[in-house]
Formats: sequence, C-alpha cells, structure tokens
Amino acid sequence: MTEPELPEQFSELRRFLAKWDLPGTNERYAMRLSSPIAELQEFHDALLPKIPAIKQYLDARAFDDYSNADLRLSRLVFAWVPVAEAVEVFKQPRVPHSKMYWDVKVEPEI
Amino acid sequence: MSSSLKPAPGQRWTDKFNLSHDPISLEDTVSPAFFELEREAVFRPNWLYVGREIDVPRPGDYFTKEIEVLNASVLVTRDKSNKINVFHNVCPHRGNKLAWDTYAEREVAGHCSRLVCKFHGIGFGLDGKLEMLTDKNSWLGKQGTNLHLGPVAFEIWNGFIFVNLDRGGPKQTLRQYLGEHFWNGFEGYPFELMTERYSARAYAKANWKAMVDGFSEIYHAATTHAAPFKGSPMDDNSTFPIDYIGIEGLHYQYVTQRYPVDHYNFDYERLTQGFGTGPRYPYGVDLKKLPKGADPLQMEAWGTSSNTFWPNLFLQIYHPGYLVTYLMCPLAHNQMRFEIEIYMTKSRNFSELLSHKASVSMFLEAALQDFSLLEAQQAGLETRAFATYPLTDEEVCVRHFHKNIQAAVENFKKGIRPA
Repeated sequence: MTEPELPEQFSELRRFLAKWDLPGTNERYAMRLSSPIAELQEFHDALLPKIPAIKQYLDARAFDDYSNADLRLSRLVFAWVPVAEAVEVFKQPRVPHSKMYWDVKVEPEI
Repeated sequence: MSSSLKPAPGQRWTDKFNLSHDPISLEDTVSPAFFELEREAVFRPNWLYVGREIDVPRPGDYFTKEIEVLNASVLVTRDKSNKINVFHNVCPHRGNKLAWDTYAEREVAGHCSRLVCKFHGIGFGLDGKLEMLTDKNSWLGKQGTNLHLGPVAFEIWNGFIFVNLDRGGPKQTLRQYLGEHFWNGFEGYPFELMTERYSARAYAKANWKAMVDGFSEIYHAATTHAAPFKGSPMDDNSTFPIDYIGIEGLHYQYVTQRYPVDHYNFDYERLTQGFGTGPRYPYGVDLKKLPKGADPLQMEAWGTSSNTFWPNLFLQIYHPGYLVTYLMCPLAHNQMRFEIEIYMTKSRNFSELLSHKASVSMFLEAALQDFSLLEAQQAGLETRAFATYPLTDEEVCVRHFHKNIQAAVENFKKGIRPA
C-alpha cells in the first residue's frame, strides 16, 4: 500500500504540494515573491476554510507521531501564512518598497 | 537616572530630559571619518551583546560572532563541563580563523567535540585548551604545548552574553555598565522558558544608527506599518500610546500598552491566532505584570517594554511573554547588518506552533518595512540637501541617542574616557 501524500480528509489539497511543500521560511518566502498574485490568491482561498479542521486534526497528534502525510500538511499551512500576508495585507507578493527579505538562519520545524 | 512619566499638559518630554530643541547634525550618519572615530569612542570601551546562553544549549555547541567594527571575531562555546566560554576565533599558531566555512567573513554555528584549525590541524577543546598538537617534535621549547585559545572578557546577565574588547581589559563591570535599574530590574522574568528560537539576518547600505533610531520612536508606525496595523488604535496617527519613557544613563526604555487581546485585523490572524505583536494562542507564559526594571509603572495593561542598551542592542519584551533582540552591526559608515532574534516558549502542539510562526512571520514583515526604508534614508542624508534635521517631541529618544553618540566621539577626540 502506498502512503497517501496527505491525510485522507485533506487530499484535495494535493495539487498544491508540488509548489508549496517547502522546508523553511526562506524557501516559502522566495516562492511567494516569485508567484503572481492570482496564484497566491488561489492557494490562500483554498486553504482558508480548512484551517480550523487542519488544526483540530494535527493537534490530536504529538509532533513525534506525525506521519509523512501529516508533516506535508503542516508544511502546506506554514507556507500558507506568508502567502496570506501577501494576499490579505499587502495585496501583492512583495512588501511595498522592499527589495529584499531576511535570511532566516534558525527556526523550529516539526 | 532621569526617568519620567508623561509630561504634564503643555510640557514636553524634550524639556523634561533637559534636551535642546535644536535640529541634529547629520554628520554622525554620513561621515566616513566619524565612523572611524566611533569604532574606538563608542564600541571599544563598551560591553557588546553577542547572543544568549540558550543559543548554545548543549555541551559541544558553539557559534561565532563577527564584530566587524572592532575587527574582531569571537567564538562562544559551551564546553564539556557545561560552561560558557568566549575566545578570539583565531588559532594561536599562525592566526588563521578557527571556526569558519568557505566564506572567511561569515558567522558559523555548530556542534563538535573539538575545534581543529584547517591550516595545520591543531585541535582545541571548547574550553580553549590544546587537545591535539601536530608535528609535536618540531615545536621549539614549550611554544607548542603552551598554545591556548585567546580568552575574551565576557559576562552574562539573565542569560544574555556580553563581551568587552577594551584594551587592557574592561574598565567597568557589566553591572556598572547596565546600571542598577536594569541589573536586578528584570528579576522574575521567565527567561529560561524562552527556548524556541527564530533568527534572521539582513544587510543594508545604511548607517547602523538609522536602525537604532527606527526603534526609538513610534511616530513612524502609523505610516510605515499602515498596512499590517490597519483598523487598529493607530489609525488616527496617534500610534501606540506611550505611557513611560525612561532615560537610564546612556540606555533608555519606553513602555506601551497592548492591543485588545481579541483584536484581529485579518482572516489569517484570526485563524492562526497570531498577530504582529504576539501570538494569542493559550500560551506557556502570561505575565500579569513585568518586573519593575522592565516596566516601572507596573501596568497590568502592559503591551511592550522596549529597551535600548548603548550602543546597539534593542531588547523588547512583548505581552503575554516573548522576547525579541535586535542588534545593529556596523560594517562601514553606510553599511550595516541587522540581526533579529525572537524567543518564545516551546510549542506544545500544532496550533501553538502555528500561532508562533504566524506572529513571527508578520513580525518579520513589519521589521522589513522599517529596514526597507533605510537605504533611501541613508542616500537622502548623503545628498546633504540639508545639514541638520529637526526632531519632534515624540522622537526624544532619537535626540538623546545622537547627542550621546556625538558627545562620545567629541570626548574621545579630547582624550576624555567615558564615565
């Protein structure tokens, strides 16, 4: 039996994995900067209504017990956060007047 | 010490602190010659922040810190016996840097049982002692066996590690430098719980002081941070209300109240319970009041305690309980590195981690808004279209800082040591 890419009840989000299953903030932010706002809007709108259910699902597990499918799901949500900022706050991929971003050296990941 | 509650109606912070109303000279920000004097006048005699004990959590952990303004590279280690050490990051044989990787000027961090020089393979423990001498028989007398890493003076305050590179040793203790208001003033804050670390770096073609200024007033917030903080108390341009500004020698602090706990501006904030000024998720720490040194007013409605330690460290404590440090590292009169460290309690589940990450994400966006203006700021000043700039009463800490910078350099030129 092949392992599912995502937990069953969130399998319709599979289409976002190729682009948004990324290991850390630097990669996620770079992907946001290089994506057209319409794509960011699509990813934002697809995950928005599912966030409460995803939280409820993942909260039921200890980090050490996450399956690979759970880990992918968590990474999709972590990528969604900066995308949501672009869509909801700045209405564009880039912080206005900004030519750069941080180099994040240390951060917790599951 | 000259600390101050809000001035009486009609009175100004500037007058309360006995500061001149005169516009400030921009020389200290645009002059290469001034920068050269700052190295010795401002940085040499002072205790300089390099990081927290928690940054090297296990025996065998180390990190390097480049202090370019003093041409120094220091190595912070936690040795086998769990002790913190600080050394010059230099092999005492022929002077190669000890811990580095590919780019000699870049900082590194890691974990090892021994530091080995890439040049001749001589090895040192993280306690600085010689552990492996290569070509033993060729060394003359005891010159080989006497090799030891060069110690750097350091002291620790609440887990924050400061070094001192003054020639002939520190002229004052860390306690004397921080002063009594701060030394015991943060007692009771649960620093030891803040172990979840976020660390970020960026570079800008700007003077280091421009970013110190960025944290020294919140007049800019209504404009610079209009997007993330829309619909907030800042809409009417009054920004966060400042309840207290304190000047403690060369250091200064200010305390503000907080947003309503259930106030969210955006869907993603509401869903993640993360906000630019703090996660809202049920939290590992929820301080009713800050220690007296962090908030002399002891407000239950406290939101932020912002503390600028001379010359280049900014320490913020946010409600309900997390820490941020900012270090403005001078590289040249118009080059700097900006280092942000955010420390939260350890996340216990996904919702908590998401709340933390969302807060940090917006926090970094907001800091980027400040940072992104700096190059235009530097370039504008360097045109010398104007010779001075005026400061408002709300910008009193900017005034205080530049006054002390200019005084430090003037005194240095006259051969007067700092007090």
